[in-house]
Amino acid sequence: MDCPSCSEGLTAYLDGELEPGDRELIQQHLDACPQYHEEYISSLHASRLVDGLPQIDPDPDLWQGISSAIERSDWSLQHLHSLLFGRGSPGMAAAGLGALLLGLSFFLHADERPNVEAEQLLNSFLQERHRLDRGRTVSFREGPEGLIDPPLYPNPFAEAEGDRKRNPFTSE
Amino acid sequence: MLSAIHKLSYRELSEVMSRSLASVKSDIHRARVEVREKIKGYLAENYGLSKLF
Repeated sequence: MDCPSCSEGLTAYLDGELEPGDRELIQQHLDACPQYHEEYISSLHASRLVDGLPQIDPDPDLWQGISSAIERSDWSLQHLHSLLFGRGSPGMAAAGLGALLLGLSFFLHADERPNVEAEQLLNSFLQERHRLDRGRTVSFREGPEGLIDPPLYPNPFAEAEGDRKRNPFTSE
Repeated sequence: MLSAIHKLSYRELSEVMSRSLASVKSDIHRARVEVREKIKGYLAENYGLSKLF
């Protein structure tokens, strides 16, 4: 089992969503591959951090904004339809068709554009977390040896046995 | 959202979204990686926590 295919399984492993056989494969790979174990720790800490974020009720204006945007979108489509299939001039129809193709191209290449909205949302989310819980924004502190917070899965590459903890997904 | 906030299982997600289990698993993994990278970048830039993850 190579690391890339295992990475996808790692998320399911952390979520406790793997069948016993697949879980065993992940654990074997964790025991054998230091890079994969490092990926496991990274994923575990990220999951803990996200789980620790407070749930914030969205601003009431958010839903109104989404609703308005949908309505505007509907209006634009209806307007375009009347231009293309109504009594408008052929030139207007051609312009509408061009705009439609441009929009379609923009939509198809959406993955290539930076997701500014998502980034802004995440930033505001973390800032709110910091405001609510100042001083404890991050529960995983760094020490001279790296992360202070130890991983739950036993690190087969660690020298100190005492640092090991149980894997929450096994019955051992 | 359905996984992280509403705590739906992968199987429930596949039923709700009419997607295969493999597809759900893949999407959740990609979403987690993306969120992790964004948090990592944010914390490194704003708090100097370069070794957090």
